[in-house]
Amino acid sequence: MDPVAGLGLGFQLALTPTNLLFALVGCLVGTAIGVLPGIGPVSGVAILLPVIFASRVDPTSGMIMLAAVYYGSQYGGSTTSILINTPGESSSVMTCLDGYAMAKKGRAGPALAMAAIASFVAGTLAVLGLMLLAPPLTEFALGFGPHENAALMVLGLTTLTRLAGKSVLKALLMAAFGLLLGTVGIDSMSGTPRFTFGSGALLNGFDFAVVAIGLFAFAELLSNAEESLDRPVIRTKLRDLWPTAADWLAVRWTLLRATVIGFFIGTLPGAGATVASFMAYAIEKRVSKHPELFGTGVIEGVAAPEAANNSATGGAMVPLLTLGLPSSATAAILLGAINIFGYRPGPLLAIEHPDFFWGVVASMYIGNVMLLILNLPLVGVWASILRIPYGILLPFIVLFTLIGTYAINNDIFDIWVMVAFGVLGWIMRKFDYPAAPVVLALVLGPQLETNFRRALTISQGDYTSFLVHPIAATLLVLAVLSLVWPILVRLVRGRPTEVPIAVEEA
Amino acid sequence: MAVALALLGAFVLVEASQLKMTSLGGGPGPGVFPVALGVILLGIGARLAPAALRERTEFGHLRRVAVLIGALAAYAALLDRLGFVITTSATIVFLLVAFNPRRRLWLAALGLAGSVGSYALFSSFLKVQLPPDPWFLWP
Repeated sequence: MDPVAGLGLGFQLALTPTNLLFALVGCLVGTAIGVLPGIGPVSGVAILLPVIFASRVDPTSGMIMLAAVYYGSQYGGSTTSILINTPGESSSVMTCLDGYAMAKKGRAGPALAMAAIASFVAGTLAVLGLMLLAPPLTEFALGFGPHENAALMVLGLTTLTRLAGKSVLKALLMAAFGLLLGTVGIDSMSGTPRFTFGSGALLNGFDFAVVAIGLFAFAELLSNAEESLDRPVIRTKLRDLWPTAADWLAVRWTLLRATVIGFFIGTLPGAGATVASFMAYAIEKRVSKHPELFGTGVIEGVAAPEAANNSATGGAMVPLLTLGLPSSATAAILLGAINIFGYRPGPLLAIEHPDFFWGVVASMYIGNVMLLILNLPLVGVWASILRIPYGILLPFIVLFTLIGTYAINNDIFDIWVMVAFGVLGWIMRKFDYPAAPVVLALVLGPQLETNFRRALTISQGDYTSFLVHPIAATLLVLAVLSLVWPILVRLVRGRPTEVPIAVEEA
Repeated sequence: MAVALALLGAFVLVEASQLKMTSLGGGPGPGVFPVALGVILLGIGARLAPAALRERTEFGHLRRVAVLIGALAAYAALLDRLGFVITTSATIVFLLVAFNPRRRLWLAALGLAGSVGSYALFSSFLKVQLPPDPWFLWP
């Protein structure tokens, strides 16, 4: 289906009252999640997903809402950065620098407005990019067999691992741990139970949503409970919301640059919104005529990261919807959602279910307009959420965490699993082990293993068959390169290097 | 952490060695993938272990962490017997009172209203299945 016809179909679906309502609720929830420091997009989507599924919502409506939560959270994250110098999400860290400085100068209004406008411009342009890039990618990926699919997933895992944390080895360890979790339960190809230890509850394996709620939501709650519950809330006047003419002039190219940077970084597995916002800020500072003023409250410093993190979420939808490859932990949950809705992620998604694919794409245009309308006049309301003491918020976040966990399988065992992974996630944070590779590996693991074994069955156990398939071989070489690139660079420069690690994941 | 994961890797290797390595038709069996993962876990875990043993971290209010974990463990243990409304209300009210030194009565009422309200919203309105109470006081 060509983009114009597809978008026509999509808007027909997205503009129905029901779907408009779902998009609106998603945008509201997403913004709230973005504003609240204790809960991020991963936890938000993971908690909402089972609720949506249990309510027997139409898959398109459900996905419209989940996607709205995802990009809505990027809007909300900037509010806390600007008003209390605390990023609501990791992707709004850069917004703190100039946003908070602007607020201290009494320009909180224009900063918040510019964050919303930058998000809107970038979000809308990114959907355009998604629309243009998705069909050719789908076409390309249609020829993929098990060899290529397995190689693609390895690439997705290694790039995420590369960018997930400070230590590649720790991230790799976490990815392996996630893959291992994915093997628990009945092996789909042979029917053999693995690592169940005679327990009936483990036969179905670990549910990715339960693990994600534990590792992200509950671990975050534990970390917050451990730290001080009081956060300083600064009261700011929100007069003169509209940016000045000078502000507009300053950001005209910034918006475009940051959108393009964010979009392409977003499509890369593993990079995501956070890296995009850092890159956009750094590039903006470099091309600026007054780089020394960055950090003292310049409007470009707000526009660049906010535009980049929003277009990155649009970019992340490209590999997710066309290849079935998630590029971040949140996207991994969305991938799981597509599975739960009974659709097969991958290139066939847009062809077999054009209504689903284009409905979600079209709703993203509508959602961005909604968010702009919601955020400009309601910014005072969002700011007032921040005044609720965290000691009161925390028990209510616990409440939603529990409902979300139970709703997944209606199983009390899942509550135990969630609590256990919450404690594990809290310990992992203490020692700088990233959680995103675990969730991504858990979602991708079973598919990776199935494709890997199918590929080897086709080639009768011949491992070199991966090298004979040109696309698969290229992807695997890229995967290895993504891990050893920094080591190679150090070797070439002739500096002492750590012990290189061999990668034998294929 | 790294030590624990290395041990896990070793354990996985032992467990996985009982699984079949090949399947009919020459492809790999259910054991190949876990064995590879066990090797990776053991290898990287062992590589990181010396550094991990020297790693130290600082802890904050551990009592609050313990309270939160304990409350949820009690929750999971009692949910089956007492149902959603009673267990959840008790847990949320307990956490609200435990984490807030002031206005406790007001907060307890808020927690009760929030728990019952969310049951009404999710179970009765959105049709999400939540554990019913054993006496069926609530539809």
